[in-house]
Amino acid sequence: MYSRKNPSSSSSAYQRLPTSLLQWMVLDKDQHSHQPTGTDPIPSIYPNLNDTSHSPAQQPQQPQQQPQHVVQMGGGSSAPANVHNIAPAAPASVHRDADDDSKQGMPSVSCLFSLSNTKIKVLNRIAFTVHLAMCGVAIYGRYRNSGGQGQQGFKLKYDRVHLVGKGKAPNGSAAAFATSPFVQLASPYYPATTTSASLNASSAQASQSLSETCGAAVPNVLEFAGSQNFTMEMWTYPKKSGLEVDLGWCVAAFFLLSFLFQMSLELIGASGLNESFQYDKMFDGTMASDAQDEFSMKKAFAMRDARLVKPHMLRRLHFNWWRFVEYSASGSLVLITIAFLAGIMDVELIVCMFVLAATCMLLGIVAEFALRARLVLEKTVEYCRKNTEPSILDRDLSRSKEEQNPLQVLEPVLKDIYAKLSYCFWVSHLLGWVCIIVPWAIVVLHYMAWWSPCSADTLNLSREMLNRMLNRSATAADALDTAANPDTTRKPPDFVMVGFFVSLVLLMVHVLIDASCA
Amino acid sequence: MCLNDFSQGVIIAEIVLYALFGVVQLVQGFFPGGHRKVEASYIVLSLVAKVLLGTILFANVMFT
Repeated sequence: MYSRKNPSSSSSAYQRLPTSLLQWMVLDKDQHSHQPTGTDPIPSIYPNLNDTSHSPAQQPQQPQQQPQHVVQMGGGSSAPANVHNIAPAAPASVHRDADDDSKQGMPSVSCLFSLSNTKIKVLNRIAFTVHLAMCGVAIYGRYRNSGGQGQQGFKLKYDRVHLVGKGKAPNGSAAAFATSPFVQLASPYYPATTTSASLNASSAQASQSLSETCGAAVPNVLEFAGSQNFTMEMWTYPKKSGLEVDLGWCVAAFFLLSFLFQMSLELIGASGLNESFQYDKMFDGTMASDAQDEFSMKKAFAMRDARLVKPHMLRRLHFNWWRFVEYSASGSLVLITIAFLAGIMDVELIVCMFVLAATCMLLGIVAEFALRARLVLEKTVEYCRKNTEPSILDRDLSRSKEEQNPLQVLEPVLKDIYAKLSYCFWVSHLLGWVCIIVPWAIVVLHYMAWWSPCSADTLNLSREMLNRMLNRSATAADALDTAANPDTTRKPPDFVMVGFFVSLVLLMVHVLIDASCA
Repeated sequence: MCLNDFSQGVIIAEIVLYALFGVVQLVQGFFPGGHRKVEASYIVLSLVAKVLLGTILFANVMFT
């Protein structure tokens, strides 16, 4: 619901002011951050705006009216044809009720659920209570698995991956099994692997049993006497990377983090240390406009400087940035817990994935900041269009017609700010998608390469792979090279590092753009 | 023990839930406002994502 101001309050008081007094007041720098009081020339239209206990639920329900003029600064010229025709007593938006959400462009299906600040608060409390309970269950499960000793807990153990290949070796050929090149072909996203393999050649013409088993770094070369069918079996194991995973602590940690962050949101909001943590400010502060906006906009008009609006915009720029900080910690922990389940045990890869996921969540802060700033800008201009008194400037006949309409003077600047904020939002939003898609892609590809053979009895080897296995010299050379440089097998794939650094560079560019917008 | 049975479901479900976080912000970009619904969506999505993962792990790994 909109709280309507009294039509005879501020506007009429404004009209009674002499032009010289208004200009003196507007140009006075000391008045810039001054809170309008009852004795100010510009009275406080909404004295309860800063009252944190003031919630829409406590407001008397009044008939809802849509704003007469919706500013769409990003959608071309939507300025009123003549601001002089706007009634000075046009309603201003101060507090928005839950029903307002459906009027602001959200899908109409969501109107089925009417949300209030109290309901959000209750929902948050339910959430952190559930998180605390799940954290307790996780800790209990961990100690239960360790037999009450609390020393071992549950640690991931992986079954071997069993790959079976079938082929037909031509007469006189040789098969060389180099396990590392095989793994690079079969599971390129799992570098931390120890592999063993065996070859069985079954043929009536076979003069000997061709069954061998090789270790990780020893190529095994078998000569085929005559054309023979052969089967190849291979087992791979996670290489010991020094990383011990305790799933119990992982689960308990992200539940505990969520509980602590969400409870601190409640406590800090209740203590008043941060206005952004108060639900009234979080949901209604952005949409409010009051006498200070009118005051600052008039000053900006008089000075022809849109930057003067900035402090008042920032004053009401409240949003729940704490939520994204929580997600950057707990959400990233959830991701790497799933990565452990998918078989990723490589420390460098885990760190890269954690940083990328956390970067994605932190980019959410930038995106939400741009969204809220854009909304504040819209609402402020909308309010001032309805409440600014152009008739005061009209009296100054020395000004041109364009100067008499201050919104026309400032509108290009405000549109430019709006466009930059939109750009900030889309860049950070899309960059966030990149940052979260990369680690998930690693998880999925790794999972497919690592766990899929569990359910597959036969792996149809490609011609390229068969040719490579049957090529003695190349396979043996590859195997020896790999054996000589065992550390190279533990590095994360190149595209992960590339994606990580590209994301960092783009983030720096975005921060620079954001700083220029500010 | 082969983790293939349930970890596949965990991965798919979590990918969908993580994508929904971005979808919520995307919708917010196209349709400004609705801050309460956005906040409620984030709270519910976060709760569901973590409880789902925790429950599946409890059921398949920690208490088996």
